[in-house]
Amino acid sequence: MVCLTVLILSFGLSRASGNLAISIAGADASAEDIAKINHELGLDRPLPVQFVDWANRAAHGDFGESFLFHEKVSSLIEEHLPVTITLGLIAIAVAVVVAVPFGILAALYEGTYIDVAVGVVALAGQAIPSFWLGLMLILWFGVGLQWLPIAGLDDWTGYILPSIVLAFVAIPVMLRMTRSGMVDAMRSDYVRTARAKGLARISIVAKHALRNAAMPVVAVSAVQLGFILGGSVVTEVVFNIRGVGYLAWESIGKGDFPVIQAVVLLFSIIFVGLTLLSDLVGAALDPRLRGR
Amino acid sequence: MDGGSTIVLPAKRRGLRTALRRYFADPYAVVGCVIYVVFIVLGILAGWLAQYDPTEILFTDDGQLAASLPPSAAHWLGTTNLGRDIFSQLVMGIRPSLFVGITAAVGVSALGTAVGVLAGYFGGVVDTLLMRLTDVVLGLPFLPFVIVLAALLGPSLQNVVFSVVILLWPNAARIIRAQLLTLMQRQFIEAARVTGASHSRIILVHILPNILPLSLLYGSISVGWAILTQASVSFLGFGDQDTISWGFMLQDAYASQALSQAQYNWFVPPGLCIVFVVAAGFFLSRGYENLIFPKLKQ
Repeated sequence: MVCLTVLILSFGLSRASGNLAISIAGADASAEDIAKINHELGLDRPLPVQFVDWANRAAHGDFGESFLFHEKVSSLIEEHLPVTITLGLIAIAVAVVVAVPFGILAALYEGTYIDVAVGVVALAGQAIPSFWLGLMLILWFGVGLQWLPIAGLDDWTGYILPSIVLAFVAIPVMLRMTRSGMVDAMRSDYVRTARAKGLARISIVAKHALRNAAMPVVAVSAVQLGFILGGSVVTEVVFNIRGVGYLAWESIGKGDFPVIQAVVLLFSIIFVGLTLLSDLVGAALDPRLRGR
Repeated sequence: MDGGSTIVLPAKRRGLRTALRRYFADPYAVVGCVIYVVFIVLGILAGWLAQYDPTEILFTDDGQLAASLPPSAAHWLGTTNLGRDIFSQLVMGIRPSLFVGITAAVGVSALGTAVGVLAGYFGGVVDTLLMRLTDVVLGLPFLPFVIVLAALLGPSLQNVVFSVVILLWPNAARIIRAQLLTLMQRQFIEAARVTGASHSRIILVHILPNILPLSLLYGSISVGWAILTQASVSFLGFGDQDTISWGFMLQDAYASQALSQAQYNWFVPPGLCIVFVVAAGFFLSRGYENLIFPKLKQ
């Protein structure tokens, strides 16, 4: 259902983008030239016919050929996807490593300045546009201190700044979830029992409270990975990384709609898939969410 | 509204005052409000504060292009590589941001409320159809879709607002529908129905006032997202090239290779403005959330 809608939407959207033949042939091309290009690309057929044809081929993994790169869309994506996925996975790992400990800290020191500081970061962190964060990091660490490369992924140091930027997409939400989960868990009866029977604080926090508080965080990290991949459009442009996001940006700018259609479809499928995965992970970790 | 709003509770005035006092007891709300007031005042005075036309190409006294000047008394934040005054651009950039934030908030709360109320009130097929639609839109990846939509509809602020509204309304619609379902069980709705009130009267007089706090909440959350999105779209070069906005300034700076020249004066101010305005929006809605859901505050 969602997939069908996305198919129609991504098709409709990219066709709304104006006349491709004109952008290929140039603004002062004659009417015959334009008609010829339209015919070659099959653009003179009725829209529903074009759609069914495209959807049918897309279902078989054939997204046609890019008008501007003169390369198969599927191989373009194959070329660009690994970078984006790698960056996304590093970023979500960074986000978990940063957000979970600080969330726990804020919950344990509830109401103190540590908690307030974490709360401000969680709220204000969402307000930082990721492209600007990227620009600032480039200015400080790339241009100012010259510690890290300012663009591209020539070696592993190139991954550092983009993954920090992408991780920041997920950190505020995960921080808040960890904190509220831990606050609830620390107030619960089983933690009081554990404390009453004299368990060490570390084992109460790490074993009893964290296991319960972490379940929603683990589940939500799949959804956050979806947001991170969505954010790759902006981040890859800032850091000049040739991933799917960059490809999307390039093809939107040039109206190359076989590529736009395929990329939008790809993003949507990944996003829906990750949302589903999140539900499944949640159910696997928490038996109460199973069944019904 | 019509004469239906005659039932005004006598304690309403005091209720409002209590609400305001409780709202401003929240430090986040105060900070958010102060930032907003400052930006709105600056936005109104922008034409007067900007010493130069933000798109005017300036020259120094000896006829040279006033390009990439460092901050000085004449140019508080320096100039761009084409000799434009950065401070003037910055204050003029307040207006598009506030415009986008406020119109998107109105759009999201209006559309979300309409869908939520229709689905919850009429139920049945209407409900099923509208909720399926909501699920579909919720399943779309936000940023890629907004960018594609805004880019393909054509570069203008209105199109950015439209794209944001189209993608953000489902959250509001879902919550409002849920609230409506509980409202529909309450006796005053039943009483209104028994006295023969029409659908429109029940919705406008009895339901909307109870829903309004929720739709305002979702509207206020959208302010920040809309401003952020507008900045991202402009930064990617799909925004209106004739409107000086903060996202446009950053795109201009990025495209002009100002990064490698470490022109902090060009990069830092617009970004900070975005952060302040958006954070203020989140602060405001957080304070407001505490006000309408006192139980959440812990």
